[in-house]
Order: sequence, then structure tokens, then C-alpha cells
Amino acid sequence: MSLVWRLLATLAAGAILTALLVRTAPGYGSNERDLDIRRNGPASSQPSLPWWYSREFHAPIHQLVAQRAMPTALAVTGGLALAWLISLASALASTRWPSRTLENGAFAGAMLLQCLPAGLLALLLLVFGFRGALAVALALALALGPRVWQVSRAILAHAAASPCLLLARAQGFGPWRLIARRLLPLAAPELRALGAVSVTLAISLAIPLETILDVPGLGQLAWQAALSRDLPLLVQLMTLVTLVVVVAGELARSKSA
Amino acid sequence: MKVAAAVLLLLLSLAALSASWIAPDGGQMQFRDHINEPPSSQFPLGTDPLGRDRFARLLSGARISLLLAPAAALLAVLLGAVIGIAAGLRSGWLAHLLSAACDLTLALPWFFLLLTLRALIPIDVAPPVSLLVTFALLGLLGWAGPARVVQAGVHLTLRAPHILALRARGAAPLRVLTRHLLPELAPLLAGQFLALAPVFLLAEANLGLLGLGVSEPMASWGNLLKELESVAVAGPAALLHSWWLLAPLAGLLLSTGSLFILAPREVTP
Repeated sequence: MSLVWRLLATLAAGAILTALLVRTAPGYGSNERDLDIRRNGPASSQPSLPWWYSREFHAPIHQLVAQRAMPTALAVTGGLALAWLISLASALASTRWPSRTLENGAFAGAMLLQCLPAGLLALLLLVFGFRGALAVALALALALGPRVWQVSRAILAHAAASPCLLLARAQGFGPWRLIARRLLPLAAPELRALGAVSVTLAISLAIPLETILDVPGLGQLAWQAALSRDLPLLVQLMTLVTLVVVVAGELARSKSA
Repeated sequence: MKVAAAVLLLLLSLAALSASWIAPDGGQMQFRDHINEPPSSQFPLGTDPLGRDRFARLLSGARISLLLAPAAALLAVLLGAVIGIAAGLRSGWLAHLLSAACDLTLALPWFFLLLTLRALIPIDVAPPVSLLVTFALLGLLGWAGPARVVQAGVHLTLRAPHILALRARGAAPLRVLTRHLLPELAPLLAGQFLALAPVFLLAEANLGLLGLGVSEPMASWGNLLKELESVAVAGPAALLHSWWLLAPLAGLLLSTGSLFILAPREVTP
């Protein structure tokens, strides 16, 4: 299926889901005031809002998204770049200079980081005085890095054992030339697929991280929408991030093809 | 290593099961003369701002987290197995539909989806219902990974020589499924279960930290960790001074670590 069809299908699914969820949501057409008998006065009635309007923030959803997209984009891009830089560098280093001790140490560290919930990583960064989008990027790198390292290490190790690498080594390729000209191009399709998966993970992790580190991004907006049961906002946010994820996946796939 | 992890997990599970004996009230009893106290002989981990015994709540939270996260993983694996086997055995539109659903679910940023579905639950729902709903949602959203693995496993197994020979001899499809396919898929399913259980433990902890997990007054490791927020802004010294607040983290680290070690390396996320 082409990219355009996938995007259209995602948009259509999102629109149908929005309409369905809004219509079937408990308390549709009424607000909290109407449900609470103590506050249910004659002045509490409110006109029903259109589906592109946030019930919680009383503003058009596109406006809210425009305001909040930049901090999330910066934090997610920074976190992904940091996670990939460190993970790929250490995976390449362990492929180039294999050492069982280092490998076991790195594996234990990666395992420890994977046992911590992302929200707790954010709290620990908060304890040590980190704040803002930088802290979100750092927490993302800490949460994603071990997963990216583990998978990229396996991909590179598999690629390093392929016959064309052995041939290049026999032809006298230097270590850096071997990595740049043979190893990385060989592993590129799988690394790109891993890149697409890491984008999905990073966007999901933005919710607890932005909420705990108090960064006014899309993740925090989703949390506020969930707390206040603002379903139109929540569903449209989900559609938007799904679109981003689908585009990232398609880009990875089209480059690999 | 795996034996040590299994023993540790067993000990944690025994501690969790003994919660109803140590704290029959589920850590919900308030000691109003002992509000926010540090550890003592009476309260090994102190009391919280509502005067509840933190140790009793830790054990009670362990029971909820350690029982329901694997239950959610089991639900996800069962769903994944049914869908994966159906997609692997059938060809044509059903297989395509199931594959597409699997692709779409895997592509969705699942924490957003989880929040959306969690937000559909009414605000005034009873705590036990919120508990079951939280873990049921985790189970229902986690099917796609196991389904994809099972589908690939079915394709591979169906091409194995002994299965081809059986089918050529006219063995009934149900017999092939129950006598040969399912036993061959069992290790795959066990691996998926061991990989998903810690992921769900962590997801519940994240939801608890956001105030969207198991609701008060019930305890889970996730909502117990939320107490750390009160000391986080005060710096590392305050955190070290209130070290007992880290007890749920220790439980979470030990249990998820043990589960990750028990899972085969190929399926560890």
C-alpha cells in the first residue's frame, strides 16, 4: 500500500474513532457540573462543543497542538539523537574490539536501565536538578539507549559475520573503512527499521517524561486530556502521533526498498 | 543466573501472597497517631501522610503487581496465540486482515492508546474495577507482538518435513494443530509471556506515577512510587534521608530484572 493510502486510512480511522468515542463516551453532551447534583444549578448548562474543540482547554485542538508540538519535537529529536549516538557507537566499538568483560558490564547496565519505568528515570533526573526539555531528552536517551544498543549490537554482530565482510577484510580494508563502506551499509535496512520503532517508543515515552518533568509538550497535553476525560483532544492527539509514526515507518521502509 | 532469578521471583511471590496474613486490611488501615513517621519497630517502612503502614502497603502492592501483570501478560499471549494461529493457518482475506490489524496495532504509540482507553472509564469507578480495567487494558493492547511471532512460528512449523508428511497422509487439521503445532509453539508462547510480564509491570508503574493506574486506596507499586514526587524536588539529600520511599523501586527492580533474566535473550525487549 502506498504512503498516501496509508496516511488516508490512518486519518479516516482516526476521524471515525474520534466521532465514535465522543458519541459513546460517558457523559457525552454534559459537563461535570451537570453530573454533580451539588453544582447542578440552572446556570451550568453549556452549549455542546464541536469535535475539533477541546473540552478541557476551551480552545481549538489545532491551536493547542501548534503551541505544544515544538517542545516535544525538540525533546524527542534530542533524546533519539543522543540514544542512537551512544548506542551505535558502543555497539560498533563492541563489534570492533570484542571483550567479554565489557560486553557483560554493558549488558548488566542496559538490563538495569530497562528495569526502571521511564517515569522514575524522570523523577531521578528531577532529584539531581535536571529540568525542562533537556531533561526529557536525557531521560529518553536513558530509557531508549539500552534497547537500541541491544538490538543494534545484534544486527551489527550478524552483519559482521557475513561473507562479504570477511572478503573485504581479506582484501585489506582498514577497520574504519570496513565499518563505513561495508558494515554500516549492510546493516542499514535493519537499523532503519529499528529507527522507526525507536520513534514510536520515544513518542510513547514522552507522556510520562513530559508530565513528571513539567514540560508543556504533547505528552503532557495527552496526560491532562486523559485526566479530564477530554476524548476529542486525546483521540486527535493519538491520530496525529500515529501519523508521525506511520510516516517514520514508511520513510524507513522506502529507503530500505 | 536463571535459577537465582527464579528463586528470587518465588520469594517475592511468597512475600506477596503472605500480604493478606501480615496486613489483612490491605494496608488501608489508618493509624492517626502515627502520621508520616519514619521507620520504627512497629512500622518497618514508616507510615504515609494518611497514617497507613508503608510495609503493609508494599506487600499489598506486590500482590497486585505480581499477580495481575502476569495475568495481563497471559491474556495478551492467549489472544496473540489465537490470532497468530488463525492468521498463520488461513490464507486469503482473513490472514491479510489479521496481519494488517497486527501491523496497525504495532505501529500505534501504545501509551497514547492506553491513556485514551483508560480515559473512557468513568471517573467514579470503584477501585477494584479500576484495578481490573487497568490490567485488562494492558492485556488487550499487548496481543500484537505475540501474534506476529506466533504467525511466523506457524508458517515455519507448517513447512517442517514431519508436518508436511502428516498432512500428506491426510491427518485432520485439528489433530495437526493440537498434537503437533501447539506443542511446537509452546516455547515461543512461554518466551513471549516472560518478555511481556515485566513490560506490563513497568507500564503499570508508569501509569501509577501519572495517577492513572490503580486508584487509591488500593496499593500498587506504581502508585506507591508516586510518593517519591514529594521528595524529588528537594534534591538527592532529601531522597537519601527518606530512603524507605525507594522500597517499591527495589521490589520493581528485583521482579522485572528476574523476569528479564528468565526470558530467552532473543525475546528480551
